[in-house]
Amino acid sequence: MRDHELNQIAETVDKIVAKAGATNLRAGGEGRVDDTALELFTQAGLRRVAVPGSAGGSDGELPYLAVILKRLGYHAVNVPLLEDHLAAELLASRTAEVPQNMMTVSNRSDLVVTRVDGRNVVSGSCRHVPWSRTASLVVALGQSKAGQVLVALPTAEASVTSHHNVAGEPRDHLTFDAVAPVAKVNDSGAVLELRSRVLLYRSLTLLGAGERALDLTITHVMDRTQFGSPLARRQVVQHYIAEMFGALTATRAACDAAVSTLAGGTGPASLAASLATRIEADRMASTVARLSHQLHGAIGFTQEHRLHFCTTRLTAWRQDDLSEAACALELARLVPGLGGPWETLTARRMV
Amino acid sequence: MTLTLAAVDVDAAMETLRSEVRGFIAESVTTGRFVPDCDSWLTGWAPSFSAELATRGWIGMAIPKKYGGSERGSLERYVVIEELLAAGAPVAAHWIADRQIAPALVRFGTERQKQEYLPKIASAQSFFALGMSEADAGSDLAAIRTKATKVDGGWRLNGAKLWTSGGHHAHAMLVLARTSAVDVQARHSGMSQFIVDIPVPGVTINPILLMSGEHHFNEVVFEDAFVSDDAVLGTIGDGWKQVTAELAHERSGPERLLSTFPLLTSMFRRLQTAADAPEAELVALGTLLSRARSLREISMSIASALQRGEAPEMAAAVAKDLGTRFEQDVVDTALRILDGVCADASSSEEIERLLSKAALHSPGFTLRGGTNEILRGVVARGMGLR
Repeated sequence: MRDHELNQIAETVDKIVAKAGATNLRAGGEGRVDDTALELFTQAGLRRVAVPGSAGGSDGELPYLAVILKRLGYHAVNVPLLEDHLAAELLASRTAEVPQNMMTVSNRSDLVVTRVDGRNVVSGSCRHVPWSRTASLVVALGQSKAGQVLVALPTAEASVTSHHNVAGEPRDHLTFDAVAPVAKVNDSGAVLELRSRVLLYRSLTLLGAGERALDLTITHVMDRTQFGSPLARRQVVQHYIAEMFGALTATRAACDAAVSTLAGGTGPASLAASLATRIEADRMASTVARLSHQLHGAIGFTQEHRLHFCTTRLTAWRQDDLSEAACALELARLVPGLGGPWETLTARRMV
Repeated sequence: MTLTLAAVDVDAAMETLRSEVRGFIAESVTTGRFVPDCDSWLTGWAPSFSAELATRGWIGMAIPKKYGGSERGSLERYVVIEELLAAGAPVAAHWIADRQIAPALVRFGTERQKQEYLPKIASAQSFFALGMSEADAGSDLAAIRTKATKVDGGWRLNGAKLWTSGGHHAHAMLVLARTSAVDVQARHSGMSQFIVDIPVPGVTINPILLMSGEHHFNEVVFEDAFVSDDAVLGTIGDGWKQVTAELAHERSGPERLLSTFPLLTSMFRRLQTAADAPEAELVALGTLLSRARSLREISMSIASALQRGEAPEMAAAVAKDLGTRFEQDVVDTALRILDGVCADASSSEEIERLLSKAALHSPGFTLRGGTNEILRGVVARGMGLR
């Protein structure tokens, strides 16, 4: 039953993308939000699918969101749904009202929260914020006297410098100077939740992009003939494909387990699961981007071929949130608290 | 092109079983019942430890109760064996019988064979070896030349098996032999499986030492060795089909990713007790742990598919290709990052002993049970590339 529902959601995403006509994919240009696709996702109830109904979401479960993120990655569609969904989830249980406008998140910030004249103000900057120009609020980590907090800041109050990642997606720098936050959440669980979720969600979009790169590569090596036969007949080509396939299988297994862990609650075990998953996704991105280009030859290295829509994202998304090495360091440091390496691996559903 | 593997849900009964096994292991290490070692499923031959496991019902868990097993299913068996492997417990004596022979007997054996062998396997009184590879038949198993010739009341075996693990200790051996001449159009036909009790006249076992100096492999020579008709497993001529039916079991188990886990645990322990553990080393260990986690998830979901009666051959090939390379990378990482540690079998330091064993066994990980190159070919075939 569950599988059937998940397949239906995947099909809906595919249909929406086909209907929107992937107008976002302008080779080499600056990525803009695909408004048509975003509107269709909203109409279909897929924009905030796993956000509680009381906060204006669709009340769905985490696996639903996981499928959507994977398919968005597969299609390289420019809809900042990951960021908006995460911001809405974080605010949903913790603030009175969740804005219906698009929002984004940042966990690369040096924001400081201070009290001035009896009210909170936030100063500092967020670097490489995804899709902030189409978001009314950014939910970010800040430092207060009491420790790490979440703050929601109006992007209109920021001074902005414009930047892009290698896939052309906007990653602006936002600087705030004594700006009053729309919301401030002191709960340490919220910080852990932001970090656990953003790592897993990005892993899912990476997985989707990797799956697309493999599909394109398989088609290519079956069609492309050199020395009188398709590339796919060469053993070395088959082994490269098997290597890509293995990396994707490992990432998918990691994602599925992390979705299950996170659905059970947030804690050190869920953070460990998300960190481990993101390491797998980053390693996969490296393997799959490299080998899919190698197997496409010069054809895939051009703007007119669509391979770069997924490979530039595989490269760009690895750099979001937290590097692979930073994930690995943090994971290793969580291990003693979880009882040791074996206990960390087997703690999956005991959050 | 994706491989759909359902994530496995762990139920409370399995977690209770896990803590029982973990408790037994902790007690065993404390009391010196065993010393943790790498690759202990292949070389940790300890019949008394196997007997301890058998009394707890932890051998033959997939064997029906009426044949002396505990009939608890392959996922519960998985929990038991992964706990034992992660701890580096010596499980080699019963390993092949428990993993491969028992399921093959349940599936293809005659009633007499089941009654004779299954209770002894479950009680750790019958250990098996596998007679598959030969000097000229490594990856190309269909090239075997050991022949079984029909005679009155049975078969006469002639030929030689090579790299036979534990053959010098085993009570019996499952031998793959040609029962009809090679048909070039159908190379995989004309092979059959025989259960050969050891010792038996006409069978000679010669040691083949590993590069570490350990006696583990053997050459098993058959010279007119007689086995009765009762010794035929399954159907004459179906040997290849019967062998490949068990391949998913053989390739996807936790032993394909945990052979060096005791070394990884030891590395964590060492770095975490060091006050100034260098970040680069922790990064390396965190990366290995993330890989182990995915591999375990893949392996468990295959165990679950096998329990449902599926034969996920392609998934099993992926699991073994990735898992065994991970096992080697644990060793390589240890060699790369452990400054002041020397692989040394006679060391009083656990980590130096573990590293010595792991380093000398490492080349075998990606060879045994089908080389990784063969496995990638299986994946490519599954994807329609060949």
